[in-house]
Amino acid sequence: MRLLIVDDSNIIRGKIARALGKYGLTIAGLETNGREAVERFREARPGIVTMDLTMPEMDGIECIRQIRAIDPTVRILVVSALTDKATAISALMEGAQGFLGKPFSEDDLCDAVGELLRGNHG
Amino acid sequence: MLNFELGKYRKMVVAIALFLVFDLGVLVLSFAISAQIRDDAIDVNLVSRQRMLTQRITKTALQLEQRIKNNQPYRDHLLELEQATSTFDKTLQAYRSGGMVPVGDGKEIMRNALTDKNARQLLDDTLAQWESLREVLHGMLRANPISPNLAASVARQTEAANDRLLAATNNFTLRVQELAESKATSLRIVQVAGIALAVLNFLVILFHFIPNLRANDKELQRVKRETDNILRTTQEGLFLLDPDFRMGSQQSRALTSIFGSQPQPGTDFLSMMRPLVSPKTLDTAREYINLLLKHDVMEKLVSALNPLDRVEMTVNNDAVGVDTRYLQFNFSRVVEDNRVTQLLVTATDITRRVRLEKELKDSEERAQGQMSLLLKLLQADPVILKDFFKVATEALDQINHILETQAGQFENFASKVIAIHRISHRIKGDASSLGLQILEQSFHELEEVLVGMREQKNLSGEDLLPVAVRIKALYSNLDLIQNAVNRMSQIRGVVSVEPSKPPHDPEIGKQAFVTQWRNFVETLAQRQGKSVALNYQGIDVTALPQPMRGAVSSIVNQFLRNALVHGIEAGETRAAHGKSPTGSINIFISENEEGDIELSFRDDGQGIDFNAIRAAAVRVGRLSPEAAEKADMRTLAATIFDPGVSTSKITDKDAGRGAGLDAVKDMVRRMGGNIRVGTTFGQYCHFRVFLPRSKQQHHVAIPALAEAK
Amino acid sequence: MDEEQLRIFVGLVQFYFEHEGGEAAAVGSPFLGEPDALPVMDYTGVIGISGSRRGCVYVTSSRKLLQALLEFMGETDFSEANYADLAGEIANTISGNARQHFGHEFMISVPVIVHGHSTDIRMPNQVKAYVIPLHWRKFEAALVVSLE
Repeated sequence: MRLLIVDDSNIIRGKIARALGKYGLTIAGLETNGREAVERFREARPGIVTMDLTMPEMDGIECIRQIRAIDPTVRILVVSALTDKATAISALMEGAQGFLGKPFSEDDLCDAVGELLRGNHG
Repeated sequence: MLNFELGKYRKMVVAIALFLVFDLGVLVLSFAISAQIRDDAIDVNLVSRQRMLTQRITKTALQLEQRIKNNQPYRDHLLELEQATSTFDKTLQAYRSGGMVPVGDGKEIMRNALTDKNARQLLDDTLAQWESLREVLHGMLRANPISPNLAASVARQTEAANDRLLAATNNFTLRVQELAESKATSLRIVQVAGIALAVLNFLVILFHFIPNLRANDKELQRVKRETDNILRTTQEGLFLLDPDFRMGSQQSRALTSIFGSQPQPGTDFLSMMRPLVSPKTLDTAREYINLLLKHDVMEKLVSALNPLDRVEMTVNNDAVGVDTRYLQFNFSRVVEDNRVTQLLVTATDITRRVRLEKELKDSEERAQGQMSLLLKLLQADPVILKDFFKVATEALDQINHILETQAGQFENFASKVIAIHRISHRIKGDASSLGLQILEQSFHELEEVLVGMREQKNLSGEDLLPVAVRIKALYSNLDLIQNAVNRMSQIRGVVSVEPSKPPHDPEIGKQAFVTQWRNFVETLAQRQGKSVALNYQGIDVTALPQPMRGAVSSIVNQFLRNALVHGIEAGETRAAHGKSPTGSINIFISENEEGDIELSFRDDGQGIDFNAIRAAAVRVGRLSPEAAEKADMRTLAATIFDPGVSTSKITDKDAGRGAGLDAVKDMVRRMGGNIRVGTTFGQYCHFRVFLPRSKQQHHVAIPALAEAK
Repeated sequence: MDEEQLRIFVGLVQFYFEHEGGEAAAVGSPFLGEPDALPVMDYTGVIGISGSRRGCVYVTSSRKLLQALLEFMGETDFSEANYADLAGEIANTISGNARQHFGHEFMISVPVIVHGHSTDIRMPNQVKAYVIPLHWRKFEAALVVSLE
């Protein structure tokens, strides 16, 4: 399974990449904003995406919408600070399947991704 | 499909169908039997009629003979004979090989040939008897006219044949009757058997299926009772939520205590929640529920977004008045046929948990506060600390003395409040400069109370009760800290590895006071968002005798606070005015031969803003607007030392109470010293304080001297 | 916590004077007294307090105040026994009402009457006590509250 990481924080991208690399996922890309993430997604077609919500250029919600338009079967995990639940819910309504609040531990992340890959339905 | 829907009722449906089949069978059979019996009855009638016809034929033949002999008209009798003969013959023929049989009124009915061998034999016997007689009778019927002889002959022959024919007919009739009866009997047996089967079937239904159904019902009732018990006793509020947000009818009893009343089944959940949460939270809750119901998300991975995980609820409680409680609503999907059909909502009262968390947090904060206090105490110089405790205890004694001095009905509580405020503010400054936040906070609270009183008219002794209470608390806090310090100084004494320096080494004292001032400046600068450097030159303050040492320390602390809050500008402002972004404070303290102290304090801040002073003096009623306009700079500069005058717009721990410089003035006056002020607006502010060693020598307090360019 | 309890005691004393003496007592500026230097006037009614907090509460009055109070009440017998009685009555009334206010929180004793400037009022603890001076018709009294 290939993974695209979208987050404007260098530290968070690194942390996710390390944790999920160990978990056995192949990193298909590390992107810092929504627009580049969509382009990268179109080329690499990863099966799973971790998505920050507040980013420059194009925010996470719009990015989720565009990525889902390209591939409706992609699994998306929103990884964002839990400051505004309403925004996060909007993101999930656009087609993400799960939410992980920052800060998170490696175990939290692996559990969440495991859950995300487990089923098509809750 | 049918099988699926019938389920466990299938056997019973079959049984009931069988019952109907049996019933229907019996019914059909009954129709058939009654039709057959009617038909047989016709046969029996027809056959019996044969007997009557033999008699009629004989009688008519005799009557014909008589009439013909007597020459009477005989036509009617002839016709009768002909009809009887024909009917008898036709009937016999019909039973023999099938045919129509006249039944009177010119009507005929169809009869089938008999199949019973016995009956046929008897029929043949009758026919054998009849055929010869029939020929005789036909012979007479064809003759015209009939001679009396012929008639007599036929009458004789008929008479002769009558007995035998009658007997044969009789036998035949009996046989037919016998047949009909036996058929009716067997048909009835079949009917009874059918009814018996139906009854049996009914009994099977009654005794087999009904108990089964009742057992099922009992099982259902037991299950329902269990469910009811669970719903009645669980501590959590449970109910199901439909996709249209309606609450289901199965609800746990705990829901009543959670909501205050049992929600009606079908109630809109969101309208139940409306009074409890903000409109935004309500919208988020709607979206969250929709997310779980209609979107492809992982239940576990969205629970962090539940907006109803902590709902604050105010309830009226008879015992306590108004009570705040916390509720948590959890949503779990109910999945049927791979589809989310409903949500199971669990409402939990988490008040205890929330309170415990809060208590834990508070106690952690308290512990941290105590820890940081201890650290501060460890860092602080023991000499300064000791001084502080002495000064603080003295100040508290002073405050208590002010309180204790009674003036009876001439009591001026307002002036007491001002005096206490002054002292309190001074000690607060000292506590703050040493980083003793707990004490600083206690003094701050005392000040809050005092400030409230300064605005209050017609103060009474009772209004001062909170002051007494807080002073008592300060005494005991001071005691506690002092004990801690004493214990620590013992420890410090033990663990100290450096060789102890001679007590009069000027470096120690200088270092200690200056370090404390620097720390204080740093703390204040950080709070105010400013950058300030402190330079000190002069004597070793530690070496000064008391009360001089305490006074100098207090005065410098107040000046530092004043400079940081009012004097030195923020970095950008300074840069905009062409100054270095870092402000500087220069302190110089000297001692003359008589032991008098000269303290010089200069900051390169914005100086005194006389317009702001004017406004502040007018605001607190110190000067009238006209007087303020006319006042010279000297008068205005003097007002900054008046109680209640502060140009700061915000009241916080650092400034704005207008008691700081007031306290300096008070202390300098008590020590018989004086203060001079020099300032250039926008450039600097310079305080020069003279403190005589002996109070008697310089008794006059000169308020201020303002220079202005 | 102290403040609320102090207010209740002060309120009770004031209520007594207003009710029995025709006008409320003026409250002077409250202060803290050392346990060994508390004001003791001619007649003192002491209430002991135990339970969650230990200590005592007393009302001490000058003889003149009691005399004026007796006069106001229409009493003509100004014997020693009557002064002591009145001081006891004040303390009694306050202790009875205090029971109603504090319920089970405090165990409040029956008052003890001390006559004269005796040193017999030994405080049950060594904490500073609240001293609330009272003025009633130019006469003096004080409420003293000492709680651990």
